[in-house]
Amino acid sequence: MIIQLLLQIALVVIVLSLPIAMLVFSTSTRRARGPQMRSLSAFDVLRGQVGRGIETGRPAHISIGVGGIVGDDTLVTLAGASIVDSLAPEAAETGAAPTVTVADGAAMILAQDTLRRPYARRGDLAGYDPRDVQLLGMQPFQYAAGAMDFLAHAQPVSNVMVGAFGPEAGLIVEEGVRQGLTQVAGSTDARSLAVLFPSANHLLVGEEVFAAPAYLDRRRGHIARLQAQDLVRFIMAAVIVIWSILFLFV
Amino acid sequence: MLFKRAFPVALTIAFAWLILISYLPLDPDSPAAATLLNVRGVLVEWAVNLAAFALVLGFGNLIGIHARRIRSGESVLYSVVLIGGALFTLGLWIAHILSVMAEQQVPLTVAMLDPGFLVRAFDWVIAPLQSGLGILLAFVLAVAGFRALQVRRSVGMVLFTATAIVVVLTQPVVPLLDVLGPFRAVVDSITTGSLRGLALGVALGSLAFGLRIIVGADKPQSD
Repeated sequence: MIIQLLLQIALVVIVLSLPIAMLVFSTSTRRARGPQMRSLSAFDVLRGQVGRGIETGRPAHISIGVGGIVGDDTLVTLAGASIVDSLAPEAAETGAAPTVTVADGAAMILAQDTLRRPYARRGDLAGYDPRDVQLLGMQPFQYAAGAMDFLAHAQPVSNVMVGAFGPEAGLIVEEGVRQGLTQVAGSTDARSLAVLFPSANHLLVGEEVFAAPAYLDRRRGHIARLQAQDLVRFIMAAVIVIWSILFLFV
Repeated sequence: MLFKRAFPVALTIAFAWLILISYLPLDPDSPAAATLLNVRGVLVEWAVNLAAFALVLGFGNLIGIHARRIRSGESVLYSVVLIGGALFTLGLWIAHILSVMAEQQVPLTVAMLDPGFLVRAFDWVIAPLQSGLGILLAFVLAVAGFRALQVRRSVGMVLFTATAIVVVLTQPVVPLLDVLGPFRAVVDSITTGSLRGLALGVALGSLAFGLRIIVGADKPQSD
């Protein structure tokens, strides 16, 4: 009973400490220069994708996963959409929009809106084509079949897959390998990470998929969020280790 | 303009906090808890209805894209089969609803809930096709693993291959279970620890990412 209560208190403390840490880091980042972040090759590659699209005349393919925005996969799908959000302004400037593929109706609307916004900001809505967002299937394996066909025939310059995926992601990246594409993949699901690992050139593992706004746009609030996450994770790991050692002696 | 920008954000923040508060451990018999649960139910129902409408838009997008591909002469056969299959299934479903309405003398809204036809379409066509594609995964992964080992000689790849070998050799059909059992136990404990670490990171990442949305710092739904 006491242990249960202690665990509940610990959970509340962790949940509350995260926004407080985010606020503190956000204030300190405002005063000082941003922190040095460890290099993630996936984001280094992502920065050049629109440019490569212009040079080759072929669009980049971005998949935001098979999840929707009503359910368990909402935040991971939003993380995938944040990559579209980061690349869309350059795409609107140059007219080399990536092709975004989805497997859910609501995610399709989200991706279309994300891609459209920079065009609206520039007052160039005529340059925006809603068909740059394609719904390829409504079930994971249907989507995988559609995405494989897309990679084989549309000849994109690269394949970026960040979002909610299951094991079907292995089939898509394998097609990407066959087409000789540079591939960036990211997922929070252990099964999809296992199948992505051998084939993807650059892999975002777990919470790294949420780091796109911090790495690609250097947004202050998101950098503070990463710092807060690291701090709370360190505290949690320390608590787990201390708790385990205590259990050995109690 | 301000209204157009601020309204969706205000709506998101208000609804997000309402849903969040409804999960607080309030006294279930209190009127506040009952009201919050009712509000949550209504909001979730709205979300489901909106998602269903988005599904119709998605269907339109799918058909539109393949119609464009047929016009441009790109993968014509695949696109024709897809559009034909989709429209044929839609037609059969409408016919099924009409027959249910006629036979059981029920209104349209009730007839649409009859799952008979959709279950058969899923069990007989979609599920076997998806399973067929799923079976390929094992072979694809094996090929990818061998290829990656040739190209990438990293610590990660060596670990991946060693783990794959231990897992394959410790299956019940292989008579090496007793010999390699301890190795499998080591692999399992490392994997379990890694999975917990992954889950912890994802949970914290989701929490922080979600917090920024419900306080309006991030606006995925608006400028």
